[in-house]
Amino acid sequence: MAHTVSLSVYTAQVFPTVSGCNRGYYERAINDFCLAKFKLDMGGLDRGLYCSWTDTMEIYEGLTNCTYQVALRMDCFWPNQIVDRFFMSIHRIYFHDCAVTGRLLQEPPNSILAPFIGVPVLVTLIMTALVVWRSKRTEGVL
Amino acid sequence: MEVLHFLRDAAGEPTTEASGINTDKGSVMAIVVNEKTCAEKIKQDPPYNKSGLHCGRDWDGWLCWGDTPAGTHASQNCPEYFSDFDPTEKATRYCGEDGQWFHHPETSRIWTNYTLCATTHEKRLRKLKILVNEDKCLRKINHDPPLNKSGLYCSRNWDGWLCWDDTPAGNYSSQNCPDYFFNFDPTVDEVTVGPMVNPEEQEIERKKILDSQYKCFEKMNRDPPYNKSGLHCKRNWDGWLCWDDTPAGTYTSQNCPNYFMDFDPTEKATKYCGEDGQWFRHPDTNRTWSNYTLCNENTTAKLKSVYILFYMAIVGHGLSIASLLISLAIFFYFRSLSCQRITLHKNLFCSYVLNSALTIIYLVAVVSKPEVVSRNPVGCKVLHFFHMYMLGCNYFWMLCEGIYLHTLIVVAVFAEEQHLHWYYLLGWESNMYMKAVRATLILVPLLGIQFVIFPWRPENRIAGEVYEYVMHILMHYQVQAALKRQWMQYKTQWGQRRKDHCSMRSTSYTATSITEVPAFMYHHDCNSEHLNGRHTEDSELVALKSGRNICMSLSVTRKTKSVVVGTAEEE
Repeated sequence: MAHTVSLSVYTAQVFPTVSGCNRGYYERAINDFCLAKFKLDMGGLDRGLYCSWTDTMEIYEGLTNCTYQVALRMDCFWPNQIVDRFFMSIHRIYFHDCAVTGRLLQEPPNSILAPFIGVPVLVTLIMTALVVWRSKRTEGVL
Repeated sequence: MEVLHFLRDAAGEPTTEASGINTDKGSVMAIVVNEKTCAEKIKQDPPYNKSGLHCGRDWDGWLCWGDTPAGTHASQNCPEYFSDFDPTEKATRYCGEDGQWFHHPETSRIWTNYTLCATTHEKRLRKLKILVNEDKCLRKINHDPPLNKSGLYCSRNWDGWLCWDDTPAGNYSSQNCPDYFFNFDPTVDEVTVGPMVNPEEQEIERKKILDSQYKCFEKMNRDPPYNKSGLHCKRNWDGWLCWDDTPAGTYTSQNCPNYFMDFDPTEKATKYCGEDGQWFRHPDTNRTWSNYTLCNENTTAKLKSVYILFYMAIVGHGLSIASLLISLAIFFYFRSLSCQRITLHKNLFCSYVLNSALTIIYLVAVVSKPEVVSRNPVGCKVLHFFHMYMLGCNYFWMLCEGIYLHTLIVVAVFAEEQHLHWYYLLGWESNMYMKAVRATLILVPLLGIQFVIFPWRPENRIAGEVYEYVMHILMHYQVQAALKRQWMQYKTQWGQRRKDHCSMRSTSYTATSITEVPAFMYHHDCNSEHLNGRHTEDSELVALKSGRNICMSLSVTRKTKSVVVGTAEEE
């Protein structure tokens, strides 16, 4: 009974195209399967760790890979608009309060760089001025 | 994982025996809300109006159950409170013949069957497989041509597990049993047969791509929506790079990613947004396509030119070291040459030698071996640190030379500013000053201008290569030119010694200072020696004699003090 119901539902809504990807199916597949596993894995993590890349990277990678493999089996191109929407909603739900920048190593923020650059420059200039001034004074004495 | 049991005692108060699941706040809220809704429903629904026994409406702690006739099952979709509950499965409850809800034999409490809801990964996997096959089947059903034989036949259909073709009447149709209960797991990496790439590199590659993907979706969420009028193509992630909303009919481009060894991050990847507000689709596959061809097109040619520069740099640095060591040997061997200026030169040359040596080591050990770079060992960081330190030292010694020069020219000569303009009036003073300026102007390009203009590398590929070659040559050969001059100075000094021994003035410390630093106050050790005008003329003569590489002979005159020359007589 359930199967005929589901069949009629699908034939009513989304008629498969001659070739290529059935987007409705694909969306349903990734939501039922990939998303469920992702929810399970993230549920096992402490909430405060959601923004920690080291902890969530594998789970995120798993989700990405899952959507890719399902797309492969359903003859869908990856990525596609459904994947875009899917991930955008994932980010909205799970990562909305994380830092925007990606989480690999990158340059330190300007507040750290600026002193590291500015101080040596200043020191150089001061030393130069000091040396010249001292020479002037020595000359005067002599 | 625990399962939360909401048990109901006789009085009807739900008690929770938390052998619990991962309930987070959200699901608890949902349960509470549903409970309230259920309570209201229980109050407001009309009483059971059919004849016969029935089981009463009831809240079991998770779901709301309505009045159900005796001897029947009631079912509804599993709730979505928990991440491993499958909302497409059914939760059921049996209303017994006696008009009482089914009581669990062990606990004698009313019990709802939620067992089908707790779905496992394998179950989901199975469902996915079935879904995939259903999709394929329905497509096949549409696509296949109709049966062309005459007579009755059973039409093609999907039975929930397998796909069946049109079959002539009176026949059996058979196919292999499905493998739903086996292992195809898309969350596990299937064997990727690819070129034998270094697994470490592959992992780094994957990490970079994943990181970009994360950044992209965050950006897509947070960027403000497109606010200009007209059609545009929507922002998207193409698998490698993030593309913004683009107006229709335009090209957009960004730098190539650095995921792969043969991708050049200075090249551009492009994407075209069509007039209709859709991204460009490749004609062969009809899929949205970004143009990454430029990224690895010229890589081999560029690699070749980089290798040429690499070898040139090593050779150049080697030559520099050789000539510098020779000149240092000259300085140390001929003690008579030494003075303050020469000491500075020695230090400068030392720093050049160390700099060149470290550069060569760095080039050979690190730059030519990308696997070392990706391994990122501590030794590499230490080497890099020392390389940078030596480079800094090099520049600072040049600064020292410059300060010394400045001290001698400006401070010594123009110590009292009010006499400044008088200096200009006096013929030979202004003459000296002009020479000093000229010499300094030659000094700057000689020692370092290429470092200043290096960033302005021309965009054109060929012009850029020419530019780089010229710069490298300048950098390496400037020092050698300097050393050549030093050698000539030494030669001239010897020559001068023999010629002028009859002169009244000193010869060994003559002002024919032919050095790479043209404008020179000649200092002898710590004493300041002063030469009067005549000697200067003489030294100018000598300068002329010794050839055009001699930049200058300048004498320090401390006019304000009018100290007389004191030099040693020399045969």
